[in-house]
Amino acid sequence: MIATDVDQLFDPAFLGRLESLSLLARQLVRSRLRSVRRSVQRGASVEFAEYRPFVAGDDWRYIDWNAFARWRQLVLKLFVEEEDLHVHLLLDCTVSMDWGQPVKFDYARQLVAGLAYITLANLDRAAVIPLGAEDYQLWPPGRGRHRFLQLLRYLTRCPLADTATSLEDAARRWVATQPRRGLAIWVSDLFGADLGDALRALDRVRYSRHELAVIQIRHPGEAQAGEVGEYEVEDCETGAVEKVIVDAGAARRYRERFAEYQESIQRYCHTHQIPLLQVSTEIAVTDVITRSLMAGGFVK
Amino acid sequence: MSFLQPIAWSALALAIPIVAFYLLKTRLRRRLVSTSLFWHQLAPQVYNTSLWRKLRRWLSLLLQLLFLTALVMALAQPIAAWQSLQPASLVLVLDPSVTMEATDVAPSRWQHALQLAAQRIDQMRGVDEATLILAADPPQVLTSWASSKRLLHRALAQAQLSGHSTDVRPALALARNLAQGRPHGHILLLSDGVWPEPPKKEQLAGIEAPWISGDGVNTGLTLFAVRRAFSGPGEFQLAARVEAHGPSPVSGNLEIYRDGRLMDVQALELTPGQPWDRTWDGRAGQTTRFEAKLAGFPPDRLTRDDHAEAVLPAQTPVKVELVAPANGFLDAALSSLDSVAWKRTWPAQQLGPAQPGMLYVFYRCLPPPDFAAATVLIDPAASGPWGELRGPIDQPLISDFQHDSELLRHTGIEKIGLQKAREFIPAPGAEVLAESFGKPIIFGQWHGDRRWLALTFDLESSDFVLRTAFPILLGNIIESLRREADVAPPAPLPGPIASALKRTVPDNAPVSITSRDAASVAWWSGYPLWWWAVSFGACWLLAEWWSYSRRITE
Repeated sequence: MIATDVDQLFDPAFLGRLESLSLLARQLVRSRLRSVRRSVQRGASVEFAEYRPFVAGDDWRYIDWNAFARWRQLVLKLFVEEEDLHVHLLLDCTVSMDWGQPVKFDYARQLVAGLAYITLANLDRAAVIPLGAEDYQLWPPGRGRHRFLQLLRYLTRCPLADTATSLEDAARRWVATQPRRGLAIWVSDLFGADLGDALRALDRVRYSRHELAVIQIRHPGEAQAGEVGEYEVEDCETGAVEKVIVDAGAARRYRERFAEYQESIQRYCHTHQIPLLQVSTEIAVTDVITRSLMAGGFVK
Repeated sequence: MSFLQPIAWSALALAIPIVAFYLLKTRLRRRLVSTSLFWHQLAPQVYNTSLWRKLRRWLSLLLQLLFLTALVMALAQPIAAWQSLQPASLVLVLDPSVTMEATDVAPSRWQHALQLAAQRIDQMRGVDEATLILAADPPQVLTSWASSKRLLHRALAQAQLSGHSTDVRPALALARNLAQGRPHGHILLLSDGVWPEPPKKEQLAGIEAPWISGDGVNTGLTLFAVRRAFSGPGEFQLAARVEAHGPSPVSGNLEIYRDGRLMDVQALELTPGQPWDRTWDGRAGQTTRFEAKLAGFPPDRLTRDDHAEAVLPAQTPVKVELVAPANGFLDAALSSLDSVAWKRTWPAQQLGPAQPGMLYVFYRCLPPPDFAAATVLIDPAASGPWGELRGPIDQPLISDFQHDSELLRHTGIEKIGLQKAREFIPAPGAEVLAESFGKPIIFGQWHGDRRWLALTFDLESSDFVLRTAFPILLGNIIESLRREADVAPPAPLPGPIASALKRTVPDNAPVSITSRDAASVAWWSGYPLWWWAVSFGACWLLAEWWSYSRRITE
C-alpha cells in the first residue's frame, strides 16, 4: 500500500537530512561545475560564441565593426548566454513500482523529492514528470525553495498507473511535449513491458538531446526466486500468471537472468555515458542522494 | 477368501479425504511479483521436465491409495480357505501370583501377560475357540469355550492378581483336561514360572510357556511375624528377615513401627544371597500393630515385599475356677497373676459342667466323674482317673524332678519342705514331674485335649505356699493354657521364593518355549499386521512430505 499522507511519506527526519544535503550540493556545484552548465542558446554574455551574418531586423548594437573592416561584411558577434538549468525528474508510476516493503514507489517519491529540493536550493528549475500516470499533470518547471512544500503535496497525491504501461510509450509521450532541454533524471525500476522496453525508453529521452541520468530502484526480494515450491507467479502490473516450479536449479537460473538484465542496463549506460545508480530499497534515501551528488552527473 | 471383519471395508471411504488432500496439496500457491519477465524466460525450462517429475504426484497418490487398501484389508482380517479347515482350540492359563506384579518387564509382568493374551485372542480366526483359566487357589474358569473375541476380551478384563503365591498345578491339570477334549487343543501358560511348589515336568509337557521375566532385581521382607513369648505374661517376640537379590550389594534402612510410632531403625548392608535376621522382645498386653518398611534402598522390581504389617492380638485372660473352701494362699496367688479371671465355687456340688479352655483347681474335694477339662488336683484324698491311692508318705523329700519341664521351670521345687503326702500309683500315661525316692509327689498328663495335674501333698502341711515356688507353679500352669489362644499369624508376605523373582521351573522342562523369555522375544514380532501397515503409511507420508517440501524429487 503506497503512502497517501505527506507526513507519512516525508517525515521530519527525512526533511532535516535534505536541508543538510543542500549545503553539500551547493559547495559541490560552486566549486567545479558552474562553467559546465551552459546553454546552447545565444545571448548577452562576456564569453564569445561565434559570428553570424547580419540580416534585417537584427540588433545593430551587436554588429562587429572590426570584422566588417577586415571582411567587408556585416556580421553579428554572438555570446554564450548563461541560463537556469532545467532538471526533469522522471518518476516511474507504472504498477511494477507498487511492490515490496518499503514500496518502491514511496522510495522513488522520496528520492525525487530529495533531488528536487537540491535542485531548487541551487536556484535551478525542477520539474516532475509522472511517467505512466498520464491523467496526472506534470509538475511544471519552477524555481525557488518556496515551491518545495507544494511539490511534496504533489508527490503525495501522485497516483500509480491503473493499467499496464510501456516505458517507451511513456517516454515518447513526454518527449512529444517538447520540454526544454536540460538534465533528465529517470527514477525507475526499469521493469517494462519486455526486457528491451526500458532501453528503448532511455533511447527516446537520449534522442531528444536531454542529458540523461538513471537511478534504478530494486527491491532485494526481486533478485531472488524465493522459497522452493510450486507457484502461480502473478505479474502485479500485467496480471499475467506463470505456473512455475521453484527448485534449486530454477532459483539459480532466475538469479542469472536477473543479473544479466542488470548488466545489460549497466552496459547501455556505460556505452552512452549515462550516469547510472542502481540502488536497493534497503539503503536510506538520503544516502542515495549523497552518493548521487558525490558520483556527479546528477546535480550540476 | 473370506474376511473376519468385513465391516472394515467401509474404511475405504478414507480415500475421499486422501484425494481431497491430494488435490489441495497440488493446488498452486499464488505469489505476486513486480514483474514476470524473468519467470517468463524460465518457463520453457521449468516445464521441460523429466517423466518422473511429471508422474511423481500421481505415483504419490497411487501409493497412498494402495496403502489405504492394504490397511483396510489388514483390518478386515482375510482368511484363506485352507486356514478354516483346521480349527484350533486354545486354553489360556493366566498366573495371578504375586510375582507377576514385578515391573522388570514393562509395564509389569502381569500387564505383559494380559497383552500377550489379548494379542493371542486377536490372532484367533473365526473358526478357532479359546477358554481362559486363572491359576488361582482354586483355579477359576473365566470363560468357557468361546469363539467370540469380544467375550474373551471381556473375560480377560476380569482377571485380577491374587496378591500372594499360588499353586499352578491344579490349573494346569484342569487346562490339560479341557485341551484333551478338543481335537487340536493347545495350552498357553502365561506366567513367570516363580512358584514355591513348581509342577512336575510331565505336567508341563507340550505346554506353550513364554516365560515372562526380567532381571529380577529385588530387595524385600521375607519374614515379619510377632508372637507371644512364654517367658512371662504379656511378653512378645517380633522377628523380621530381609533378603536382597541382584548383581550387587545394596544398603538402606529397615524401619519398625509399633502402633504407628517409630520403634526401631536398622541400617542394613545386604549382600545378595545372605538374608538378614533380627528379633525384638517386648511386652504388650493389648492388641498391638507392628509395621516394617524398607526405606532408602535402590528401586526394585517388586513393591509388595517392601512393607509388612503384623498384629499381636490382646492377651486372652485365662479363666480359673477354684473349687475349694476359702484359702488365703490360693486366693492371693491367683489374684497376683496377670490376665487371670478366677472365681471360687464351694461347696463342690455347685460346680457346673466343664467349660473348655477353663482351668479347674480342686482342693479338699474331687472332680466329678468324667470331668473333661484342665484340672489341678491338690492333695486328692481318694483314687480316681489320676491314679490309685496307696497310703500316706511321711516326711517326703523331693529327691528328683524333671528339670526341663515347663511347669516346674523357675520353681525351685526341690527346696520345699513337706511333712506328709499321699502315695499314688499314677494312671497309665501320666508323667511324674517330681518324686520322693520313687514315690510320685507331682504327676499328671499335661498335653493333649485332657490335661490334669495332681499334687499329692497338703498345702497346709508344707512350706510350699510360703515359697515363690507356689505362685510360679500356678503361673506356669496357667501360661501353658494360654499358648494356643494367643498365636498371631505372620504378616502376609510373598516369601523368600517369590521375593527372589527367579524361575523355579527347571530349564529342561518340556515346554515349547523355554530357551527364551517373553521379554527377550524380538520386539517386532508382537505387533499385528495392521500396526505395521499404519506405521509404514505414516513413514511414507512423512517421507513424501519431507521430500516434497525440499524438492528432493524435482
